[in-house]
Amino acid sequence: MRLVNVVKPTHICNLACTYCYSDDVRKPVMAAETLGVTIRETLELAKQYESVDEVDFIWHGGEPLVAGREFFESIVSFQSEFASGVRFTNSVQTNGTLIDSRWAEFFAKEGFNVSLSLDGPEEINDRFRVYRSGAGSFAKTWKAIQALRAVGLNPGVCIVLSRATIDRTQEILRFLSDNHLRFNVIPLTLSGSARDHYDELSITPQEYARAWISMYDEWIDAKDGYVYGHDFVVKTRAILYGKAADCIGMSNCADFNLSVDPIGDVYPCASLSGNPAAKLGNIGDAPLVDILNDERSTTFRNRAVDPQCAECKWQHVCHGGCMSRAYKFTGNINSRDFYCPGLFEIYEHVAGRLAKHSIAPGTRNRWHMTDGLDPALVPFKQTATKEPPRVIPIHSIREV
Amino acid sequence: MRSRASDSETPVWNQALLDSFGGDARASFEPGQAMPDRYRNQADRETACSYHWNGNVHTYHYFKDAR
Repeated sequence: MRLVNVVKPTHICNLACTYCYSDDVRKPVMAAETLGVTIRETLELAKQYESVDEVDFIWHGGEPLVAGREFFESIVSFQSEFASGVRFTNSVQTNGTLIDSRWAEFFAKEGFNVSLSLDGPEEINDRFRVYRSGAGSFAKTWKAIQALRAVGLNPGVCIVLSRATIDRTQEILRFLSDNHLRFNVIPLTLSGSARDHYDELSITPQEYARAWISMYDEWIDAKDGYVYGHDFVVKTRAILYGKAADCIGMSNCADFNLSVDPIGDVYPCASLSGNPAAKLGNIGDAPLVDILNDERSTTFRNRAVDPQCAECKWQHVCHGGCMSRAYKFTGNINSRDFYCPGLFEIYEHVAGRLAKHSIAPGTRNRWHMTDGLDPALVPFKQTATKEPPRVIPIHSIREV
Repeated sequence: MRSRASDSETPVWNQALLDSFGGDARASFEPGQAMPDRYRNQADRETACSYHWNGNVHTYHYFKDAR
């Protein structure tokens, strides 16, 4: 099992994307001491969890490169100091606008995977992925792709599905294929700046499914133009193996996922960072293992089964969908993901496409409620005794 | 009973399926090769696979699942 820590070196971003999900408007950059404790505690946690065989550090933000190259050099140094045999990977999610040849060389030398935020061709991307001046960011992100490729890295891109893109999926897929860009597709989330533009950008679960499926059908049949599509792979994989293959579908994602923000506050998910009701503690105040076993963490690590999910044929691969999206859209982690009806359509469709290849779906994994793990190997957690916290709405603040 | 059209065809690997099966399949086959029954049949499919964080392109690599 993988342990994932999405670390946010800063919430500062040099862009002002219309649909940014970030709910945190505070501006600090993580101090070196906090970074060291975060890396040490994460690796210590992996040593204590018998079921964890590798740690994924995801460097996220804000724009993580705003923290500077010295910060990233410190990451490598702390990991070297504290790993003592624990295997780990580093990935960075960035808008790419700050990447030059020196950054590219650093990422190549230190083995960082680089994932860029890009919505497709320039005209589509620059409608929402903009600087505060309103200028588009495509040109600089494209330069980053070239710089990364020049040192042998093969970056991928993350695409947000919104009202502006759902009818242009074929154009986007063609762009990705023509440019050999691996990709992921993520539907719009109701938080951050996206909340301010929700009427303009929101999509229904059915629209999400239609857009997703229109891309998937092209993707799964692609021959020479094939490019890796992360969400397509993991959802196909889930159907094949009879259990979730990504954090969205896990029964208890908070058992193996966490996020640490620039001041060391710990959250069960990067997407909930900045929401006071989801704060589990501070990395400087207690060992991480203790933070993840206190009362509040316990509520996030014991997501209840929604009655409709219990009856659903795809429960074993979905488990109510994304806990964070459930929380943001309904105020309750124990509810179903807002996109639930779309996810059902998607899983139905994937199974149907596999049937056309004469491939049977995997049998329901007997341990799907513990995400495929022998229950004896699930890290210790107390039984939840309290109602889960409700959302404390945060209305994003536009900078003047 | 008349078989379905898909039953009468020999299923072959494509790149999407190889990436989705991951591990051994990705390492052992090429697109266009026939797909062995043990991969098509749910009863014979091994059930080990890890999960991957969804907010990034690179958290899934087929080589990570080859155990």
